[in-house]
Amino acid sequence: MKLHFSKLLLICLAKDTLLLCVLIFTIFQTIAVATAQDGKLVRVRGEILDERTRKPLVGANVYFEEIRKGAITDADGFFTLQVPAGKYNISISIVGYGVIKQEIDATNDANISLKLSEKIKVLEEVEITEKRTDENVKAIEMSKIQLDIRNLIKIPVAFGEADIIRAMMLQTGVSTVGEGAGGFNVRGGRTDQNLVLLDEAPLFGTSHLLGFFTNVNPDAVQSVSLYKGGIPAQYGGRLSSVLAIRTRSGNDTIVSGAGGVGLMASRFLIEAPIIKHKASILVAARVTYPNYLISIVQNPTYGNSKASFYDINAKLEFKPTIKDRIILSSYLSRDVFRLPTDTAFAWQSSSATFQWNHSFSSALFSSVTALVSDYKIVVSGNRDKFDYELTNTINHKEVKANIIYNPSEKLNAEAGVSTIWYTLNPATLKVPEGSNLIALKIPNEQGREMAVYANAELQLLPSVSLSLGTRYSFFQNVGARPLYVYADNLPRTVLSITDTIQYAKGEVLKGYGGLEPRISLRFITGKSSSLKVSYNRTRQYIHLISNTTAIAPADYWKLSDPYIKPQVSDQYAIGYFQNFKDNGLEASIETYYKDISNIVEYKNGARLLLNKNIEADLLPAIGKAYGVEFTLKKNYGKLQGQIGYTYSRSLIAVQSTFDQESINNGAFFPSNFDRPHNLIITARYPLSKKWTISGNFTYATGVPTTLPDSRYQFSNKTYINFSLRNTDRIPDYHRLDISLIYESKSVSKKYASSVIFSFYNVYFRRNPFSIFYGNRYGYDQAYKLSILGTLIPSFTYNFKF
Amino acid sequence: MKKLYSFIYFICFSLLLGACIDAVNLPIRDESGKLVVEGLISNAPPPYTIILSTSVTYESGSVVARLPNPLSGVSVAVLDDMGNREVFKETINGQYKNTANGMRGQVGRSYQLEVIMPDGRKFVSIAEKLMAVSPIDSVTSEYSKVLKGHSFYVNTHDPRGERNYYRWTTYGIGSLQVSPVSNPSPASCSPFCWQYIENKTLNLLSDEFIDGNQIQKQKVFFAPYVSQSDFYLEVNQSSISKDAFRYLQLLEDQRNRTGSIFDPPPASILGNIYNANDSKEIALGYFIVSGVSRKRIIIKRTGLSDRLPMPIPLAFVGKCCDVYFGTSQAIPPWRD
Repeated sequence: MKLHFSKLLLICLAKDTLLLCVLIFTIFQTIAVATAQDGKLVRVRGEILDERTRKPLVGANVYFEEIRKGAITDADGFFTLQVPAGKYNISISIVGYGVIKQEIDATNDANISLKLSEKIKVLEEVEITEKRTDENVKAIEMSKIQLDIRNLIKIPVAFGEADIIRAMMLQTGVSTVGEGAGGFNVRGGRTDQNLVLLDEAPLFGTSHLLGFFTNVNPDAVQSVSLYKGGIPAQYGGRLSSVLAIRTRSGNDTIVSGAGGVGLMASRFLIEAPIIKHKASILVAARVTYPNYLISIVQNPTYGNSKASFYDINAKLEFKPTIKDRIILSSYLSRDVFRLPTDTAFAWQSSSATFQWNHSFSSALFSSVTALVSDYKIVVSGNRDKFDYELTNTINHKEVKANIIYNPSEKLNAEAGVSTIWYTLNPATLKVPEGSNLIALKIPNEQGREMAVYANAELQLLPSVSLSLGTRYSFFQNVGARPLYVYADNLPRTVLSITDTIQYAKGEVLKGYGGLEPRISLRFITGKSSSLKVSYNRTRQYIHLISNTTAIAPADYWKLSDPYIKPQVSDQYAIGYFQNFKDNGLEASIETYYKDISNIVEYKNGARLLLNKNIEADLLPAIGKAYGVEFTLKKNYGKLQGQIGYTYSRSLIAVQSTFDQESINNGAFFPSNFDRPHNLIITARYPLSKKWTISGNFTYATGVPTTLPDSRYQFSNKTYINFSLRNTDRIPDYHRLDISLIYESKSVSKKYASSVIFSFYNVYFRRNPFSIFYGNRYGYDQAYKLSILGTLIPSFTYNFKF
Repeated sequence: MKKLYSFIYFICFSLLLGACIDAVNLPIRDESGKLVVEGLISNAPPPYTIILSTSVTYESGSVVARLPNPLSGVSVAVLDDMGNREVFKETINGQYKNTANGMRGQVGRSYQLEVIMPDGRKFVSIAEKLMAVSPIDSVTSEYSKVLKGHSFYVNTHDPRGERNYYRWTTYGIGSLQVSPVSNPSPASCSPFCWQYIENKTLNLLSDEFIDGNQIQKQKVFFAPYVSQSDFYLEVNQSSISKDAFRYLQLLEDQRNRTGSIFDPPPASILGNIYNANDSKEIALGYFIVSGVSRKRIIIKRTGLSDRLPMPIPLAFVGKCCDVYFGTSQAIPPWRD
């Protein structure tokens, strides 16, 4: 441990960041003080597993009845609690599992391992009358959403594919520009400001079929957490949110599997022990057959489109000793979309993570991770003499290590370091022999991003807890690559280039760095209520270059360089949390304010693809976002569900010293995804022992658009003039979805299955995605485009064995 | 990206939904009355035409067709970098022309437009240089059985080491075989009815990824196979400036907007004409300066099967040819 801290110290000194060092030492000291204090207390550390599959259970509630103290299991199914020495009756419960009660001997430090059995039937699940978790009130974290994976398949969806990001969009503070669009927006942030981590590896693309589905197979997922604010110091590199997806570990006792068949895709998962109780493997795959749907289309123009995608998750877990856990997780997702015209898109995400977790004692843990994540897009054109293949790739390599020191209930300290190496190929244009086009390559971009962080959660008073941390990140854009130099007193254009500097391999073009403080405070204000306050600063050194309404396959990423400064965001949030009915009813109100600088914007008519001088087409913008989120969640009784209402704004301003570059005269204007009002109601109700009905209602203000100022004639054709941006709105969005779920379990209890009938957009609402304009024979007409403008029924059959 | 449009259609059709596109009527933001300029000077023989109008209100769902609002009584002149100045006279409402023996564009010279409005505001264009354009090597045609018509392609060579921007404007003439049977008033029918067809898309190309290479099979025209007559085609290959290219490209992009996820945000398309006393006031439109090379070809269309049916007449009264908006006047000698 000493070694780790001295390393940190060296780094701080090297970077000359006094504040960070002071902070680390404060934490260090606190640890020492806290350790010295406990004498007569003992530590109980336990692991909670699923009885049948032996996989760790996340979020299980462990309750010590005699002292009325409890703990929640972490992402690996572990909990630690400090208690006075003695014997205890404990009860352990988690939604979907029975409650088990057990007597334990804790006269000395104890390690326990307990198994819970899964309840299959929906009815039993909702009738469980265990003590409800009050984590939402008691935890210091705020602005965090934990997805209920077990109920994911019950959410009605279009085309019957359960989808983790679509499910997240039913929560407050998470929105999208529209149906079928990839990515998601968190609290007024852009889609590229979300750090999506699949077993710690960042995903640069999250969509299948141009945005209709999320590219992670929900069967393979153990837990999904979204941090909208109060982002832990452990995470960095993106401004708005962290979506941490953890995949399941295989069953290390028996062979089991699961799968599903739907209209659009089929899934299959198999898990098996390699060495009983020590090593396991899990493989999950999903393939699609949308071409079947295309082939039944009679229209010859569209009937020739070809689409396909698949994704594979594989995870190896090895527990050589009780104190070590080694994970090897890998992922591959690939999409091909071929249009009946001459263009095809193919995009592929892949990642591999190696992680070694070690516990030195019941209070000190360490984790070392090495990972690689790749993203590749190929656009190919197939027109005689104009054939081409355009490729862009990202390669992200990362090594990180952290230690967690959790000696008592009152202290949880964590520190770590990480380094990322980026290699980006913005564009390589390949052409066949005899083509008119000439092969071209935009020089690669290389960068390294280093970070060191420390965080401590302290209980200052019985009712006041503080989480104080910081992250120091440092980024360098390095050669080899050329850099264009522009005249200072002119707008940056190709014509204002004065020089080109060729940087050698490894030479630093530009470095940026800074502190990212993270502070959260929680005050217990009553028996089941609390007030939480948080502040966090985040920095982002990699940006998505996309001048389209939503993420499109031809978009690419760009690193910060001498011209593109890192994006910086400061978020302040305050929230009040109150539970009623013995935690069966959770209510919360959160409000936030965000300031964002150096957002990437585009000059009018910017050309992004295959542009060597891309910086000449970009402009820095500033943004602000604010909002209030109300949530009411009912966890008890037959009817369960949630009502969420958000009022939020997301604004942007482009101010330039050169008049011609400013947008809307430099004033703040709504961003493309600004939707002030957002109401979402979700509900679930068991109709009988086997049938459940579930529904969602969504309402959102229409996204901003620009209406025409006037129209004019040029070259015998009519054109429209738009002088401002995003000054108007498209009509509001609302939709109701319903699904019916039938669940059954065979007598042998080995095989369980469910059938889900999903009805998306029940009342046939033609929600506009966008407005566009036409003029036919002199008559003006505006049109709205609805992407899923009708009821979409689908069914899915799922099984488990 | 028209392609995405097809994808969305695919989604709609595959689910048997019918159209996903509906007409909507939206509130109007009226900022009409801006000066619109459409002008072109080239090295082809004069006269050249400058068309002036003002922008009009966009009124979605209006039952009244709103035509452009021509601008009369304006003083229009073209200046070159040798100090020459030629006044363009208004011939018809809003159209200003020089004379057939007036100023002719020359390669290497720069030209500028000057417009003085009745209220005294003076608009000028940014001077643009007339760039030479390489000659058209050949124009080829291919018959497609699927599309039932001929596609025409230009083959040329791009000069190395300089940025070139191309624009092709093409029109074709084909004869409809108007027989007394298909003719509502056979008495006034001549056997030939020549129909002029214009390629309405802006056909543009930048040599950024081509520089110095051949340009082959650049599609410039499509002629549906409705008649066995010879088909006459004229292709004009023009050089345009980088700014003009960008301007026209943005116009074309606007026409291709489909409301899909691929659409960039709408923005005003700024041309090269501005108020001489207030550079923030920018007129709509563009004053284009072009070098032009021309090629004319005639193709035979006999011996092909799968002829498309005769088009439905556009008018039901008038002479034989009038119903197709054609002309029975003979085609001039077809030389380059």
